[in-house]
Amino acid sequence: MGRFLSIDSWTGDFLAERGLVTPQQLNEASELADRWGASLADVMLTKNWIDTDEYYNALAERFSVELVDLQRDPLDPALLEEADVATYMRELAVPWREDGGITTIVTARPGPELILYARRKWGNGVKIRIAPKKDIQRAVQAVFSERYLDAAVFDLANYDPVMSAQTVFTPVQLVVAWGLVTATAVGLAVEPITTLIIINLVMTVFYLGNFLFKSVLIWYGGKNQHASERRLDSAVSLLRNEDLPIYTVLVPMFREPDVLPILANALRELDYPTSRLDIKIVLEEGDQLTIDAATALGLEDIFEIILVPPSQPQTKPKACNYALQFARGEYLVIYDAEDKPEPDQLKKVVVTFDRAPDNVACVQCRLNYFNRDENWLTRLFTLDYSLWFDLMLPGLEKLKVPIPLGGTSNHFKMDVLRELRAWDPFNVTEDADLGIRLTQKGYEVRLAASTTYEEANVSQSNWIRQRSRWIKGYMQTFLVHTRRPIHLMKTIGPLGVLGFIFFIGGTMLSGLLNPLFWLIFIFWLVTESGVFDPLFPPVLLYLSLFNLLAGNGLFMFIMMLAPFRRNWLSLAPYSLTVFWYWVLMSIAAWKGAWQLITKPFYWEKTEHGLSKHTASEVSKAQAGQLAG
Amino acid sequence: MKNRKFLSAVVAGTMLASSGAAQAPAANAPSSSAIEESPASPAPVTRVITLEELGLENGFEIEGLSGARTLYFPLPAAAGADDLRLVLPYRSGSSFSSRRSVAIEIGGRTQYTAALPDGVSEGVIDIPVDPALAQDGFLAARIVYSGAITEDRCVDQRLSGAFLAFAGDGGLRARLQGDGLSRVSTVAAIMPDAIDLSLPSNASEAQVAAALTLMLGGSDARLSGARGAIPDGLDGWRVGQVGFTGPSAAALSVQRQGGAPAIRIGGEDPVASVRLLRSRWNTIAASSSLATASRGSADALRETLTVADLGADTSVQSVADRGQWNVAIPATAIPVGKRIGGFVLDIAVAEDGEENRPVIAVLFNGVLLASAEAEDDGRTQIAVDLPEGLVNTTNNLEVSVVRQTAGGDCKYIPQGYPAQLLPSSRIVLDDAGSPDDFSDLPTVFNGGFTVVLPDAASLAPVEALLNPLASGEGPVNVSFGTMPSEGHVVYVGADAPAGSEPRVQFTQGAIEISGENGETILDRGAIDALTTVQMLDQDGRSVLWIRPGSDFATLGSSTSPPVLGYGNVAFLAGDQIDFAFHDERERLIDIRYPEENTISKFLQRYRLWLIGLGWLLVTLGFVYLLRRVIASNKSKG
Repeated sequence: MGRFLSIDSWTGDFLAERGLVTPQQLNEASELADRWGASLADVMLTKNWIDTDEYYNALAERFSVELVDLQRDPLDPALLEEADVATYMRELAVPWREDGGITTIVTARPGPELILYARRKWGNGVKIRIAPKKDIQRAVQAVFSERYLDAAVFDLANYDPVMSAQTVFTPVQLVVAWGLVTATAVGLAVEPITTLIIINLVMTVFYLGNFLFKSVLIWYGGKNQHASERRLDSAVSLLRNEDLPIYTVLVPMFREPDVLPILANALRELDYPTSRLDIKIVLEEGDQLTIDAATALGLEDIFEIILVPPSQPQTKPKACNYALQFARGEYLVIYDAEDKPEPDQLKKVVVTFDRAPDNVACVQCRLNYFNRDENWLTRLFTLDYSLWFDLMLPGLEKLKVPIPLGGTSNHFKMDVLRELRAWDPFNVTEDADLGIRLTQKGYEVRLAASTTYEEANVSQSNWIRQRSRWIKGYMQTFLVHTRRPIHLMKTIGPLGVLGFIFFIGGTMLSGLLNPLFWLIFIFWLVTESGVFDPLFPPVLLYLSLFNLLAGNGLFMFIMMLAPFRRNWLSLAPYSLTVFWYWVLMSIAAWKGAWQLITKPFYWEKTEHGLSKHTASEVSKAQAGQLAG
Repeated sequence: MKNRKFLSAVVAGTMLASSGAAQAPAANAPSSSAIEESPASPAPVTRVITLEELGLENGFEIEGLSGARTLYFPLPAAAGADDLRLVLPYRSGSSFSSRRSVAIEIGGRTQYTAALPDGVSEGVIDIPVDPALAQDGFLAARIVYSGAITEDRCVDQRLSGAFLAFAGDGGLRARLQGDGLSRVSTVAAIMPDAIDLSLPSNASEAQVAAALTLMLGGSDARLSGARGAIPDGLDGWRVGQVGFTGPSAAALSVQRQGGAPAIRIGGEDPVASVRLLRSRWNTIAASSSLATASRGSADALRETLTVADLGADTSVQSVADRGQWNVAIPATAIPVGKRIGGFVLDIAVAEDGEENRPVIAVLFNGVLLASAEAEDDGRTQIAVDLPEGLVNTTNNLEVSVVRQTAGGDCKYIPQGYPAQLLPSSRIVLDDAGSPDDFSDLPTVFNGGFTVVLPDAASLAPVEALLNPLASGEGPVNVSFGTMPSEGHVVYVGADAPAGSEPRVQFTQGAIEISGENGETILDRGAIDALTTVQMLDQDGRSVLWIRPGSDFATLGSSTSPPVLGYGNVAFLAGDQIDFAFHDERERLIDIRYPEENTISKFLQRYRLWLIGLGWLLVTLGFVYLLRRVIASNKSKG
């Protein structure tokens, strides 16, 4: 795909002679093929200037070979090698039948280059048949779907069971937790005040540590960002298209038919040669709505649709794991359906990888929202993300603390991803888990100054669903990586452990504990009761007071600073209303904790497309497609 | 009445010019026809108006080598004083050889002058005074003390150690003709502040209310018996006597009792009669030359309170090094619904030609609130906001002026220059919230209240407690056992009034009040023996609940009854405050009821069972999870 083959000029002329396309269409297709780096046929098919069946019939007639219906006469699984799947997909040529030492190949791209390739691969005695490109891709997926599906679900659990969230709690973890509960109960029975003071002290110190650690992160994260961004920009301008590697773009989607045009448009706008892109739209087989929408949209051939067979757990990481096996890029990135990456993002990542040491296996780009001004929630969500991606993650990167990856726009080296058995399908924040796992295996994560814009949740109930999944995933990640505390300490170091505890543990624990302290504070404020006084000896009282006033005050302040980097000053005053956002976060935390016990692998689906901005984005995308 | 004493002592003249509103007689005051005058022409009475009675309980002292003080003795013309003597026992002393003298001016003319010897000396100034020198109902006597270190000695006058002190029992001795003392107004004006009040054994609620009204607001009126034997009036009229007659008698009348005039209160409304009797304008009203009192609106008095209204000494002082004015601010002087929010003080300091300006300092209850250099145009205004928590039941505002004297080099003798806390200095009044502490009660009770007593015999100890907490300016009612439906209440009884929630409850069995370390400070046994006073809220009104202890009655005859100020709960042992605290502010004070049966008690009692139950449930949860994990592992295997 994408290489300008001799078949292109023959096919173009032939189709024009047969009157299937006009000379004007042929000229325009040639220009677009040059611009996109795609084949002439792909352009004409994408533009719907020629019917797919007519094209392949014409092709068969042109080369005087038979057109095969792969649905009626499927591939012979015995002839296909699992190791060659990526090659089949790239060359669009697969063995179909073997008879008397002669292998019959079906291809969507016949021509001299194909014959040379086939002879090298299967010997001189090969026969050629033609089948439509999508039929070939679907036929290969069908052969390997069962095996790949099993691998997608259980590969990590079989290869490294301790690192898999398939087991939510290990027996040792349960016994230790029960031991702590029992010790607390004994303490409450024997020395209630002392026990409660100790619990209070632990929580207070944890809050203080959390607050100090995040302050340090923000301090480090904000330094020298602009200089590195300028260096990156200048390096991107020096890149040559022919030197760029194949890039796989995975777009897992589930029940999101409405945002497909946005995605397609955003991917078309990527400043990366189309011929070097391996875009895979990963859909669930049962999700007929999205499948129909994708079909109806008439996506260009650069968009390959992967259908994931139904199985449990029905999670995004499982779908990605499945699609990964058909990927053929050197690098891989995941985007969500409603994402709008900055056009030069892939190039910036390539530069970042080129300039980084070999052990850098992942580059995380920044996330933010295109509908930030829609309502209070989107503004707060934007502030939250700005703080997280613009200030905190750079701090983690500089301190070499494991970075919990964000849900999308994380770019991987394909070989490392495969080595690590990719994502944990049982973890509902598989990206955060993978970030920690990468660091444990000696790899590093870097950040790139490129932003992907997403749709911020506009509905509080939808936001709580999304955040409860994230926090549940953080709990899973925390449980998985604390199974071997010594191993964790050895692999990521003391600072890494500290960061892991405060960043992963802190986020979930503060959400769980905050309501308790709020209730105590409100109760005291309203009743002025002295019932809690014994639990707050002077030192603890001052610490708690410091946390309450200085800690919360500072968090509000830095949240106010977060949008300054992007010059979104109008958002700053909203940081004063962050208290309600914290309340929502606590609701989500408790929901996540409950689901961890009752439905640990349940993927709480975030509904996209609710924003009014999304509707206008869809219109723009459709208009763009028509114009293009 | 102490207000009146001080007022009449030193600032009567100032008061006349001040903006305070004249107190109008109560609307239901008895008419003149209801006031019965004594018809007979009785024997003369000797009245001694002591410095103590003028508010100078310990006399006064002038330190250093100069100073002056004016004393105003109430002496209504109608009293018929014909033999006046100013009798002032004094002590004097000086450390260095000096020349000192004391002079007494009466009516602007020097009546007496004498040199004071070196070293310590004692003596009595006893001079006759012409009754005609009394003006506007007062006799003004100015005591001028001056002197200098002998010139061959070089000593800063601040270090001279010289002083002149007058004892509190000295004063004006006046023989009053009996004819003048047949009128109620005259007797009320000249009667001693110390009053012996006789209540009939079957006193009605109105009579008890009248007696209480007379005794409140810092008055020196005491129920009969509390002072012991009353001296004979012929030997020196030092204690006034007030008694009650039946409702059919005149509202106010004068009778002779033990040789001295005594006032009898009768009529249907004895409270109104008492209000007329206790008016602070009696002395002036009894004067024939009453011309101008004060002008000003009642609203002004509600918004501000000048130091003149408080009867403070704002006289001009000659300040060589340090001058000081003290203003006593009893909480009872604060108008209803107000609290002290701050001060706006006007201080005039004369120019002394020195480079360094005099420094003015303002202290309230011993806390320095502000200081400033005196303005060079003569008058300095200092506005001060009062921080929370400084106000008590009795308060003292201290304003001082300190000059940097140029003396000490023996070249110039230190020279005093005038300075004065101007009478226009005022207290800024803010709106008061609901009362928190006992010291906040006057702002409620000044507007009126009802005392619910079991009987008239309880009045004396109750009055001893209430005296510093209520001015008696508002309506004061007394009820024997019946709670009024509205208005603030002082309730005396063993059980809390219905509908209120006592801070220390006596219905929960045993009580333990513990301190910082959980040690019991008071238990039920001790508390039962003590008198417990609590501030309560009953349907939005304030109730002061007095639960009498075993020695409650001794309060009535106490010479120094307790002054409730801090806290909202107090325990009294006799006339001493044993322990007072604020039940919400004091975190370290814990009130427990070991026999109480509430949810918290239930939780406390069954704590171990509840912890065990909780632990069991959690353990079952862990077992369930463990089984799930093991089953899952088996299925994977």
